[in-house]
This record gives sequence, C-alpha cells and structure tokens, in this order.
Amino acid sequence: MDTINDTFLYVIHNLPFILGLTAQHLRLVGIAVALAVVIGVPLGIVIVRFKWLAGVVLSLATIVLTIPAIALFGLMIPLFSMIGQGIGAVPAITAAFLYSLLPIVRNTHTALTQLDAGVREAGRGIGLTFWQRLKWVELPLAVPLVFGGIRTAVVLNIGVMAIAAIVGAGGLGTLILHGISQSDIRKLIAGAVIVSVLAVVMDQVLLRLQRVLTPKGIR
Amino acid sequence: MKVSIKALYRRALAALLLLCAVPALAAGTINLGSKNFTEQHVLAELTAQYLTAKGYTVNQTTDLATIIQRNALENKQLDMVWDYTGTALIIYNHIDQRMSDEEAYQTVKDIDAKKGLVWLKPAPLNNTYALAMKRSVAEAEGIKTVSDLVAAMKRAQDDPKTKPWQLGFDMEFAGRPDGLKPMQAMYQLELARPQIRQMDPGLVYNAIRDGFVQAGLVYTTDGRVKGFDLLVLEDDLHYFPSYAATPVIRQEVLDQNPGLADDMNTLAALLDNDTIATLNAQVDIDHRNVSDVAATFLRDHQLIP
Amino acid sequence: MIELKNLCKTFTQKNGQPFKAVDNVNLTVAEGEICVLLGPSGCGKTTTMKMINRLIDPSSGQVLINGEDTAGIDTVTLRRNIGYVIQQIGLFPNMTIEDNIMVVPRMLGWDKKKCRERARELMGMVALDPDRFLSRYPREMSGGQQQRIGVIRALAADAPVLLMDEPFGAVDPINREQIQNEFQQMQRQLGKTVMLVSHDIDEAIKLGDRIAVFRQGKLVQVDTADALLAQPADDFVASFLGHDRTLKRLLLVQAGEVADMQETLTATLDTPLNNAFTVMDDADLRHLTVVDETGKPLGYVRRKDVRGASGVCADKLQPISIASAENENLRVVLSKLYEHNLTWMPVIDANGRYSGEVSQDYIASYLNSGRTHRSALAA
Repeated sequence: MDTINDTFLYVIHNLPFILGLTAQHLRLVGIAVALAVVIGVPLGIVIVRFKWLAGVVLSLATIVLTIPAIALFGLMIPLFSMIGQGIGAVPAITAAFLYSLLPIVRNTHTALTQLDAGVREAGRGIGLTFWQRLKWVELPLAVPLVFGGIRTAVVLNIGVMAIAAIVGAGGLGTLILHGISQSDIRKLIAGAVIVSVLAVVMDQVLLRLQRVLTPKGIR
Repeated sequence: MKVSIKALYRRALAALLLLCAVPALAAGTINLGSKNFTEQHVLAELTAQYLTAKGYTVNQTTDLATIIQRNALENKQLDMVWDYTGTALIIYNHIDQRMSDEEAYQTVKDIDAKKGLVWLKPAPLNNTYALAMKRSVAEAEGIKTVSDLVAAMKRAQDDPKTKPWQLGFDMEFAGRPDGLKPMQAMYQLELARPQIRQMDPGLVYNAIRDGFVQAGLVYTTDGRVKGFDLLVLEDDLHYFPSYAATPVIRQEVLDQNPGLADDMNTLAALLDNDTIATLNAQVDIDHRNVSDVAATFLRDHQLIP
Repeated sequence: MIELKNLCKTFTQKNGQPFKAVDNVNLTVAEGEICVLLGPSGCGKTTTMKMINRLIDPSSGQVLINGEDTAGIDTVTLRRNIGYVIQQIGLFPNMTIEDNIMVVPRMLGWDKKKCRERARELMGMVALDPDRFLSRYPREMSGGQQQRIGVIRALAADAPVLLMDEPFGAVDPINREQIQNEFQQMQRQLGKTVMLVSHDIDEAIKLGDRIAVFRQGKLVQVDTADALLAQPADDFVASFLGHDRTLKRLLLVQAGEVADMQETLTATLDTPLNNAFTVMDDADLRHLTVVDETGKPLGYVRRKDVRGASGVCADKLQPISIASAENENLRVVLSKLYEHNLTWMPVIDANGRYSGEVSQDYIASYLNSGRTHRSALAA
C-alpha cells in the first residue's frame, strides 16, 4: 500500500517530467507507425499485384518481428553509427518502424486478397481499372482490417518503445531504467503502469477512429 | 564494388535522415551523454547544471550502455561523457595488462588523443568493481577478502546439507572476456552455471540484500553499498583495475570552448569516493531526484547560485 | 450482335499439360436475342463468356461485337460497354444502391442529374421503390432485391450487349421465377443482345431464344429450345436435357397459342339445342362452350345430351370446373387436366373471355409430331 502511495506521490511531484516522457514516447511511436503506414499500405497493395513478392515481403516482415526488441535496437546502433546517428530517435524510430511493418503490410494484403471474389470480379467486369477498384471499393472495404494492423502496431510499439531509452531516445523507458538502476520501485511501477495505460488508451482512440473511417455500408 | 554500394547506402540513409537529424553543433552547446547507472546520472546532472550556470547549453542523453555511449562519442553525436580509465583500457582497447593508476590514465589518454578525444584531469574517484556481501553473512562466515569468499563457497559446496552459494553479476561483466572468467581463474573460483545469476547492475544490490545471492558484483562508490549495509570484500589478489572517473571531451568542442577544461577540472577535483558515494546514496537509498541532489551539492560548494 | 469465330482457350495444367478449356467455338448471337450457354460445370461455357469481356484472354480466335473485333479495344473501354451480371451479384458493400448502379455511367462522365434520373428509371423496371431503396446499402436488402440491383447495374449505361453468368443462381426458387419473369419483361422492351450462362435447363428453356450446349470445351448443338428438346443432336445432349425432355417441350407452348389456332365456336344460353348440335357435328366436336353476351364462359353442352333434344342450351348446361389462363404453359395445363381428371379445358383471355380450348388429344399429337413448336403452330 505504501508503495502505491509513494508511486502516486512520485508521479504527482514529477508530473511535468513524466508528461514530457510520455509525449516523447508517443511521438516516437507515432512517427514510426506513421512511416509504417505510408510505406506498409502501398507495399501491401504492391504485393497483391505482384504475387511472387508477397511471400518474400511477408516472410521478411515476419522474421523482423521475431527478432527480440532489445536485439533489434542493438542492431540499429552499428548501422546508424555509420552516419553518426547511432543514438537517439533515429535508431529507435527505425526499429519500431520495422516492427510495425508486418501487421500493417500483412493486414493490408489480407484485406485485399480475402475480398469477396464477387466484388472483385464485378469490379473488373464492369470496367473499373485496378486503381479505381482500389480507390473506390477495395481500400474502403479494407479499412477495418488495415486499421486493425495499425492498432496492433501502435500497441506493440508502445511496449517496445520502452526499450528505446537504452539507445538514448528517451520515452517512458527512461523511467523504467532509472527504476532498475536506482533500486527505485516507484519509478518502475510508474513507468510500467503508464506504458500499459497508454497502450490501452491509444487502442481505444484508434478503435473510435476506425469506426468513423469505416464506410457506413460495412459498419 | 562492395565499397561503392556501401557508400551509396550511407548516402541514401543520410539523405533519409536529414529531416530528423540532430541540429548541428553550435558554440556553447554541449551534448552530454551518460551511462545507465546512478553515478553516471549524478555526474552528468552535476556537469549539466554546473555548465548551464556557466552559460553553456547542455543537451543530455542518459541511460546509454557503455559501448553505445562510446560509439556516439566517436561518431560526434555526443561531445562529452564521464568515463572510467579501466573501462577504456579493457573494453575499448582490449588491454588486460596490469598497470598502475597513473599508467592506465596515461595510456588511454594517449590512445584517445589520436581519435580527437581528450581525457581531462581525473576526479579522485575510483569506482572500481568489487565483490560484496551482506555484512551479517560475511561476519558470520568470517569473510573479509575474495579469497575468503572462495574458501567459504568451497565449504558450502562440500557440505551436502547446504545449497551451493550463488553470485550475482551484471550481464556485461558476466559476458565480457575480461570479466568474470579471468577473475574465476585468478581466484580459482569454480562456479556451476546455476550459481551465476545475471541481472541488471542495479538489481545486484537488492539481490544481495534480499538473500537471492550470497555475494555479487558491485561498484565501490555505489550508494547502496552503504545504504544496504553491504561489506565490500578486499580484492586481495588485485584483479580489478582502477576505474578513475574522468571527463572525456572531443577536441573540437574543447577548442570552441576554451574555458571548458578549467571548469571541468574544478568540478572533478571535488568528487572523491566518499562524496560520490554519499550523493549516490541520496538517489538510490533516499530516492531523491538526481537533479535535487546535484543542485544541493553544487550550491553547497558555491558552484551555482 | 456477338460473333465468336474459332475461339479457343488453352490453359496449362499443374502437370504442365495443356488443357483446351474452349475448343474452336463458333457462335453468333443476333441483335436482341437471348442466347443461353448451357452445359455441365467445366464445359467451357463460362470461359467462353469471359473471353467476350476479356476477363479471360482468348488463346486464339476472334470476338466481334456489332462487327468490330474486340481485340482492338482496350479492356476497360470494352467492359464499360458490356453489361455484366454475375451469380455472386458483387454489389460494392461500401456504396449505396444508387452509387452501385451509377458506377459505370459516372465513369462515362454522365452528369449528376442524369445519373439520378436514370437510377430512378431503372429501379422502376424492377419494381423497387427508388425513394426507399436508393439510399440503402446492399446488406440492407434481401438476396432477391440485391440481384435485381445487379441486373439494373448492368443496364445502367444502356450497353447494347449483356453478359450474364448464372445470374439468378443464388436466388431462392420463388424469387428466381419472379426475377426471370421481370427480366423477360425488360428484355422485351430493351431488346439487348444477351449471352447467359446457365446449367439450369428450365431456365435455359424459359429465357433462351436459342440454346448453345457445350461439352468439354466444344459447342455441341445450337438451336431453339424446342428443336433442342425435340431433336437432340446426340446422346450427350439428350441425357443432359433429361429423360423428361419431351415433357419439357410443353413449357414452350402457352395455352393461348393453342387456342389461337382454332376457330372459336360458342353458343349462348338461348341457342336452340339443334343449332348447337349442328355446329358440333360440322366441326366434329364433342362439346360446345356456352358464353354470355360479353363472351365469358358459363358452361358447356355435350353432343350426346344435345343429339335429338329440343329446347335451348340453358337446359342441358354443364358447369365448367376449371379453366386455363392464356399465358399458362401446356405443362401446367396438362397437370391441371390430370388433377381434375378432364380431357379438355377452356382457355380464358386476360379479360375473362373464352378464347378456345386445350385438350389432351392436342397435347399428345403435338409431342408426337416431333415438329418443333413454331412449325407445329404454323401447321
């Protein structure tokens, strides 16, 4: 009980610091996932068009996801050291970006390939081009699944980003690392709880957004 | 061919990252890095507050693993760090020869000078490794030195009624070629795999205090040695080298900021083992903010208003 | 008009062997005609059809639409000028019904107002209230309603050619009958050139002006339904059409057509019986229908009752237990005759007036003759 009280007091007394870390955390995740959407959705589309690529891309993305987070962050350091960016936001964002690719690419690919065959055939048969089908029919129908991928990526990376502190990117992982290195349970609890709450809250926010963006006819 | 592809790759990466790149170095701005333990946090915070009061702009990047921090310094993402002579000798330069404190300092200073890194005057602060035990256990078993510990462990091993003792190490030390293994060789310490518990350096203190391990690797200046009433065992065979805490700065930065070396020497001179152990304890035991601890110390010494 | 000339499609099978899915098909569908491609699954009928809008590229041969070789037209333009209806319907779930119907016209650059009017007009054709349904989404409609929308989507841009791939296959039997009727009605007004793939013989007989039977990629026989049923080209066609194919021919003739072939002879209630007898004797009839002044049937008199009797028809009037409507086919008529154990029944036109009769004798001789429907009627 004391621990919980102490943690609470710690959070209250260090609110600006903690909010700053939270904002930093979200910014890192946000940039990584946004990049993954910008690259992953088109990639998902491209591999629907070029089937032979799908296996390669999806396996690669799956392999990336199986690399333990701490190892992936570690791998980023020598890579980015070559251009003098071994620490800080760049390796952290890159690692999280790589983690985000799989759920986003896979869900985009799944949404487009598992589309009702009749809808696709009707689209072709009445003379819609590939891009018209994509824009007017297939992508709107893919919204729930693609968004599911984005949510997975965000929730996953809010957790993963806690490790970003070891490459000097900051974020809530700083709180957790300090909790460990300073034997300070308050910081550990505060860090862990805020990370979890953040994941749940962001998932809900994105779920709402998904509902708004899903076409009315398939809601 | 291989080279040109690599170059192309670098250029592409560099272009990609131009947008999010760290702003270029401006005079009076110091990018200060620190490692992932309390003493480093304290040293960095002392430095940051002190230099800020002197009119510098200081950007801190904390919680970096040793190698990462060193990489970032060599890659000019960092301008200054607090480093330890032993670390530089063994980890960065793979020199495992026994040296005096002065020799060690001179050796790393000379090597790094070629890389454009300047070792300023070391603080009178030797944060070396040591094995530590709970004082009550050590006294009960009559252990004062590492050799005593080894003997006690053998006794426990031979006694079927007691469980074999376990030792706690941080992962870096346990895995390093110049860490645990040569130490075992020197002290003839035999450890079965389950007897070696690897963990975050900060957790070793708690593990010793809470009896999860009988002894463990600690830093001599850590506040928790005092705070948790641990006994530092004497390194009777002199295995551990000296780890003198020293500000390391890039030459360019020093050139751009002529007063910086003097300022740092002033600060470093104040930091001896007792002082830093006390400050560390304020953070780790009393759970005070690092920034408060640093501010109080600097004010007490009239280094900041 | 659709012309297929030496059309072939060869696929490569998994074992590397080539497989001729469509083998040198020649077929012409005249303007305004419904041609049904009929055959078991895997016979190449769907492949043949999909080569017309090039959802499948032909391996060799030509497809001409109104005389123009379609190989020279890009697929998108080609498809926009061919209506396409599929079994799975394939409405776009994210669009309203109106948007679904108007996809092609919008691509063709029709203005909003014209689109809106066209949508309302089309909804009228399939008896769906535009105010109620245009703003709905597909999943808010029944399967039958969705298929109607599928059909009018294909008609939206008024393409002269319509391809239908088992268009009513997914609809329940009751709705199917109704949608088929509606479609027939529409076709009578619109006169599209239609190619319809089916494996349902009854549907083919009902809708097809001509039926093309496929087997293993080859076109086996192309004929009118009646000719096909009367004279199947070989055992395969015969067995595919079914052992009751003779009875299926009855589907093709409506009671009204039979009635039209006869002189309509009637009596009234006050016709003297000897006059009635003379009429029957002259025309070799065993009965004569008695009608009122508007021509509605009241009953009939039998030749055996009338012979040598005095009085008027009202005295010997027999009640009519059942009658046939003009648009009922002979199969329905025959079923009713057996049900009521009758040898004939009167045929009533849309206004309830007597227009002739159908008898078991007539039906038997029609089926026996082996002549086809039109030639039988003409005789």
